[in-house]
Amino acid sequence: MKMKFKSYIHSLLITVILLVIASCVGLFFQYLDWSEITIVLIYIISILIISLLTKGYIYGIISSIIATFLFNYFFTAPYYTLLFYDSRYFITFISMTLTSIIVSTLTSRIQLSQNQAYKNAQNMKMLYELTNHLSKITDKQRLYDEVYHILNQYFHYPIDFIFLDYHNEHKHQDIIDCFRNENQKYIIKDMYIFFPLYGVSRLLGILFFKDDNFQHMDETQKHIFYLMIDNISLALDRIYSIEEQLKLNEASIKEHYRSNLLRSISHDLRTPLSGIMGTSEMIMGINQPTSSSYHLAQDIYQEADWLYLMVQNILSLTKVQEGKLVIHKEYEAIEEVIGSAISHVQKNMSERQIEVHVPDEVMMVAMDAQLIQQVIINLLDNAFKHTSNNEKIVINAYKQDHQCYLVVEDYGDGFLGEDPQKLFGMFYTQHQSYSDSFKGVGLGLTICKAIIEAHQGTIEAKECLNHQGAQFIITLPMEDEYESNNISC
Amino acid sequence: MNQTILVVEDDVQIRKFICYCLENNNYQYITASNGQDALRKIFYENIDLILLDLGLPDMDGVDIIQRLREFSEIPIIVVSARDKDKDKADALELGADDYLTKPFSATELVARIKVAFRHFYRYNQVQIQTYYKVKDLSIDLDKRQVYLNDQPIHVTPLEYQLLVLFFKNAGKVLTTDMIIEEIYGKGYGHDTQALRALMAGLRRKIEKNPATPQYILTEIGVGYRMVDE
Repeated sequence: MKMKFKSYIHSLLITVILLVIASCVGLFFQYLDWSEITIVLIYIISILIISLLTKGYIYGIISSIIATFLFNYFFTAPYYTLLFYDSRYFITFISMTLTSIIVSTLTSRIQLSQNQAYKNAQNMKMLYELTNHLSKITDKQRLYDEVYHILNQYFHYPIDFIFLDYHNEHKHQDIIDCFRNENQKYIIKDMYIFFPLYGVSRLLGILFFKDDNFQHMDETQKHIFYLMIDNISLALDRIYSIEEQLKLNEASIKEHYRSNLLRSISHDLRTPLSGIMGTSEMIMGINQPTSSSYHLAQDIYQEADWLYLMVQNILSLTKVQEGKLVIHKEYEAIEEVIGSAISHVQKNMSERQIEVHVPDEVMMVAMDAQLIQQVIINLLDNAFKHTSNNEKIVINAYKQDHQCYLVVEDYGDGFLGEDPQKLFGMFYTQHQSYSDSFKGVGLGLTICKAIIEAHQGTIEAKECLNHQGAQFIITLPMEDEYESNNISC
Repeated sequence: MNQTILVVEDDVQIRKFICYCLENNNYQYITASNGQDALRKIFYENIDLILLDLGLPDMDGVDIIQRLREFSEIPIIVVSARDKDKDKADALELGADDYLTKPFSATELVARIKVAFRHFYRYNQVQIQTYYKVKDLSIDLDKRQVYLNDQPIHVTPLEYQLLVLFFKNAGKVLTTDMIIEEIYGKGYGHDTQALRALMAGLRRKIEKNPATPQYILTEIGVGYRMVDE
């Protein structure tokens, strides 16, 4: 307010002084007896200078009118009155006023557009600086400092903002929700005005300050402010995507190390196992099946084979338990996976009878075939170990309620009153009856559960309904659009 | 005349076991313990078949296959401890004839060698074979007819094409990508689902139980193999 008042006084003084000077010069010319036209011109020049030195049209127009009266007062007969005898002076007055007004408005207009151009240049420079600064920043804290500095410098009142990440999501949660749900330009709440910083795909942050401060901004400032918001959002988006890129890189390096480790483990364990199994097999080949050497070699072979299964299981477990790792699923025909698992176990247990029932309609299920094969191998291996040679094993696969059911049944003793669900606990084995004669299978079943759960399926163990024996029921989700009848050949 | 087999394997125990196996089955053999040695022997010795370990100390076995296939068609059987299906498929697509995953049995090894030789000689025969038979399943290319237990059975054109491909490559593993390219043509991509459905349909016609196939076996994650007699 004070500033404005000062500028009034200033402009007024200029007007008065210049008019006084013009009048004095006019009086001097009159004394010299020069033409009245010269005096009119002197007034017009003074008005031109007034318009140049003051802001706005108003001083120019007022001084034009005053100048006409002054001319009338001092220089037309009768002198020192506002009267005039010669009616032709009337034309002079009007043309003088009009000329002065036109001159003053033109001058003021030039001045105004100059000012505007200067302001625009200032704004452009500021925006350019902002973009320039922001484009060099790669971390959030520096962006925050820089933006805070620039905004406060430009708008002269405190502007605050937050960037959304995991730590501060709870702050201003209601506002954030509001922005998330609908794309609003701003929200006013509790005397504050909030602006969203939208990225390409999501809300990145919010910026807020006192509402009345915003109301005081003129249109250009608001416009600049929105441009700034866009700029900040862009910079923020870039920083976030850099961060995500870094995270991804890190994850892929980890994944690379992990798969290298797995590969070398599997290589280092399998190669010697291969030697042991091959050699023991050779020994069996050159001995009579009745000799003790044959049986010893067979024992070695079976132990090594069991070790091999464990190596496979541990590899599967590391694959599944890698938490974040998404297993690689493809649509597989369930019968193929069952068939492959059976041919695996029958390499060593060809005397065992396995019955398989699959529906006529082919069932395609999304899965990591190798892992599911491992599950079936484990279940079959488990069944072999808990039943005697002449008892058959039945595998049933069918579809029900958009689920693929896979049921493995044996004709053994069942669970003997034990809680079947306990089987899936880490490294649980039925100690009492089997620990001496058979290897623990707890690990195998734990792995089955881990694999099936990674497929969003379920696995449970039950006593068989129709006969004595254990039953393992697996379900795997099947998606409707991939129902087999749609892709039949 | 006994065939000579080059055994490329860095592990001493496995090498011994394989050599013993070969000796028992009247094959001659030469051994190499690393990639450079193997390549040298491939050039200077007269070799009929290569047993190749993929994990060699000085180079990747896959590179050997690639370089060898530039000038020679001799059968290669990959012996690998690698778990990744992709490695196997890569080796097969680069031109390996077959693969064995460790641990494997002596009988398996010998069977695979026999298949590879048989296939190699059949492939190089001048006269074109028009009749194939595996167990009770046979195919007559002239009549375009498939027989099961000497009874003609109906198959769709795609299934027929698939069967011809398998009969011609009996005993060999064909990767899914190789089969897709052969049946559906190049540029069809990697859509295994249609092939699985096609295979399921075919199995329902030729197998007693599609889950325990007798003719076309599934090699999980790699492809299919038709049994060889």
